[in-house]
Amino acid sequence: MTLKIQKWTAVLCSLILLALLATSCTKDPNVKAKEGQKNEYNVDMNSSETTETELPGFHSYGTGKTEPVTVGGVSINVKSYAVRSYELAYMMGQKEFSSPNQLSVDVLTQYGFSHVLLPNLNETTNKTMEYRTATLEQIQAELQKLFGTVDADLTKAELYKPSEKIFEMWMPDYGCNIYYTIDAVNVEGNKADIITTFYNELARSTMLGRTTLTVTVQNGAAAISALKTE
Amino acid sequence: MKKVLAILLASVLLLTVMPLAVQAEETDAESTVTTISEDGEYTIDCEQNGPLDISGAKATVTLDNANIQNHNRSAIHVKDGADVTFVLVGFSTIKGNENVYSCGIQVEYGSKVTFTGEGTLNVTGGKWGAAIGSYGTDINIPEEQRVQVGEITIESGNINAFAGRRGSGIGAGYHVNGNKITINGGVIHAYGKECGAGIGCGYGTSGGAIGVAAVGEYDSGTIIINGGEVYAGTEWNQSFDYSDLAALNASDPGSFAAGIGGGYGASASHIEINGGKVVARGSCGGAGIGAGRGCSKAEKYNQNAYKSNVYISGNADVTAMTASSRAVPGGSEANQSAGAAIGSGRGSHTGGVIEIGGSAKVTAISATQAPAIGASKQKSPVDGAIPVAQSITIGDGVTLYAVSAGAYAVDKDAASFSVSDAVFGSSDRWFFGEDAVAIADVASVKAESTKGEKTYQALPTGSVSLWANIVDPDEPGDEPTPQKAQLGIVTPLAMAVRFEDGSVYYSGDTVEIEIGKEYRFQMCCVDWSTRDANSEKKIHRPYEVFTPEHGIYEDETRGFRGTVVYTVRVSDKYNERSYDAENHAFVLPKGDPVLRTDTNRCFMAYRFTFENGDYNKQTGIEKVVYDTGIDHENTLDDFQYNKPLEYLSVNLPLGSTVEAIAYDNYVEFARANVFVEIDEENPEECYKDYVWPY
Repeated sequence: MTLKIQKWTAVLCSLILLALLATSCTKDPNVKAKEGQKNEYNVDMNSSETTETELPGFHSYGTGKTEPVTVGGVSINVKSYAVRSYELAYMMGQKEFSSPNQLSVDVLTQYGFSHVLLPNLNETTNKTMEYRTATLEQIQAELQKLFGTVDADLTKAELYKPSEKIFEMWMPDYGCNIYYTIDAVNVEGNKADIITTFYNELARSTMLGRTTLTVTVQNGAAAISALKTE
Repeated sequence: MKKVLAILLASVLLLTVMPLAVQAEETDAESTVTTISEDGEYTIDCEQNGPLDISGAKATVTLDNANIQNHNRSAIHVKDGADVTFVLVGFSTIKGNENVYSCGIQVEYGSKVTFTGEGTLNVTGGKWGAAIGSYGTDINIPEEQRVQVGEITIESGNINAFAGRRGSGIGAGYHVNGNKITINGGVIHAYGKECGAGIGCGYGTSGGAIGVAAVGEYDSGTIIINGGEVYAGTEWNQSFDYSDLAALNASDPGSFAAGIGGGYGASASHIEINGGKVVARGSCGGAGIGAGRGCSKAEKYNQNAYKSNVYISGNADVTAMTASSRAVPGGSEANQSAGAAIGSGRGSHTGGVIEIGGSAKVTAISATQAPAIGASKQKSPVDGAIPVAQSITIGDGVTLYAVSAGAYAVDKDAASFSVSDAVFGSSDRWFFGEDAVAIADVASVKAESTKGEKTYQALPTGSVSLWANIVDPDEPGDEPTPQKAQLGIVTPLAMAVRFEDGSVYYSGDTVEIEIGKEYRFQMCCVDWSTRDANSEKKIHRPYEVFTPEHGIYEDETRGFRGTVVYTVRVSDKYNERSYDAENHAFVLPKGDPVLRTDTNRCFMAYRFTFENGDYNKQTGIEKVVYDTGIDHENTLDDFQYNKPLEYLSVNLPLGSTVEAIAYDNYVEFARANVFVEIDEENPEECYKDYVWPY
């Protein structure tokens, strides 16, 4: 009897694993995850790091000081901001800025546009030739969530099509795995500096770089205010 | 959404305007009659399917996708002196009842209708009825009791008018006189049915009711065409190509009416064409443009009443044809005359008056034993003589093509005959004849002067059709075959374009695209290690700017792709060329469809240098310019294509992020991710400097 139960347990586990894999295969990366929805493939930070394994598709693998912190009365998901650091530094090529207003209109527009489509840019599938459109309001709303108020005329961007008053873009091929360790989260007043080291592989044997992302809380909302990259 | 708005607007309009004007009465189980009796503007849309009366009012009625049919009466009845302007919007269908004396749109004598707008109207007559005009009766009517249809004017719109049995397409019904039809614009296809003319009047009489009505006594009234495109035939059958006279001759259309003018037994007292394009065909003894078929017996014929008068002037472009269904070689009426293409029908005593002037272009083709222009050559019912035209005048500004089978092309025996020498040159080469067998193959008809210098062809055989290509917007129509063009591609050095279907093209390539269609594409940079200075592909490339060093772009492994969306469209014009940099849109002339992407805002040339000096420092770019590990022993290839370079200048697509690598004596020591964008300080420049901080 015991043996039977073990067999059934094994079968059930296999089915669950298969179901999870099937879900991963059919997931549309262009459908943004709902607010607060858990990414099934992010590493559970409460578990041992030795349980990290590479999964199909593109995912973020984070370790270190990944617990949320409270800044100015607002809970900050530091893992999310670690990924934002990678996106800005490596995908958008913006190594350093002390204010989002220092970012060019083309960078802001493409970054905001990409976030209209995806919560985490590295999760795109790098499919060929995917045409997408977005409105000014959609992109502005994303930038507001990311950076707070940004003084930029997005209609000056190359992705803007004046004749139709829309933004259009070929999906960038940002798909990749992100391996990182959050080294420190320094909270001071309404600011938090999130120091993250990025690696080239899951084993974290070679370093890609290190970022310090400053998140500022104003009017009850957190926003990226500065970035430095080493 | 438009329909909904139209319905709402119509409802509001009806609610605010019509309470005093509209009365509703029961007509049959399914429908009520809407009556407009006060002046004003009204809209009939797809929601209102009941029959409509317009009584005594001066009204503007918009037919907005209207659909009125299947009632036991005319769908729309204009009466009591009403003056109605119909505005055509969308695609409206109006039908009478084939089992009930009715029209699609019945216009009573004393009333008048005018059609305007840009929409399409499909309108069909009912029993003995015109599509637009009057219905009639199967009882021949004494002259004193005979009535006319009301007045009909067409200013614009697309009107397809299909008569009911024995009615005309536009005009009078069976045993009813025409009144006045004026066409100033629009595209009109009108088809009479079973002895009714396309435009004019319906079945008049066969003469069998002599004492009540003789041949010639019914008349098509005044028909004036000043503009538009008018196609008129004597029956409607989708399977016929009306330009194929051979096919018509081999069949039995059963019509004795003119294309424009009289129905069977009816005169055409005044047909005036001053402009526009007109194509008309009569059959089985009816003229193309003129009177309908008459009879062979004097007692059935009214010599004083019979008229056939046609006046063509201005810049009118007229094609008139006749075919005799009974004139099949060897058939019982093989030698019977057809009606003239322009003139009288068979069984008449005169060809009437025919005047062609101005700068008109006239093509006239008659099938058997009748001139193209003049009187039918069947014996006169009056005295048995061969009839001639009363008068034929052709001015010197006229362009004329005329051909007949078995008769003179133009009736040279007309009582009064005046044809400018400028038209024909000399009397020896005026007229051309072919026998009936020869003309059975109309496409091969070629009328030539045997003595003169000029050659005349019976045109436009095989190129004119009376058939209306009607496509209900709710039904799928035949898609027109798209025109294609070979689009040439020119790119900046070491770049490529990729179209939305994933196809990648390099400088010098060509791609077949549809003219008029907009294509999206993106810019890509290639992997320099795949470039080949010794490529022989150049000989296959038509453009001199092509470099055989184009290299290869491949997703994820070779090169980068940009995010900016570009479009290209090849115009159907030869001189339309533009590049709208703001919208990244190319429009190219079809005569020279070359897509030149080596222009501003299609790429950026990045120039990499080092802040502390460039000596022995190189720059590479992942997947573009990098050390492949292949030793080319310092050949040109080695330095140009497969090694990082000092002062690297590389063309890159906007919106991509490349990974640049800094080398010191070819040893990597730094990397940087570079977002490729326009230089905000020099937005009009195609290059941008990137300075390593080393």
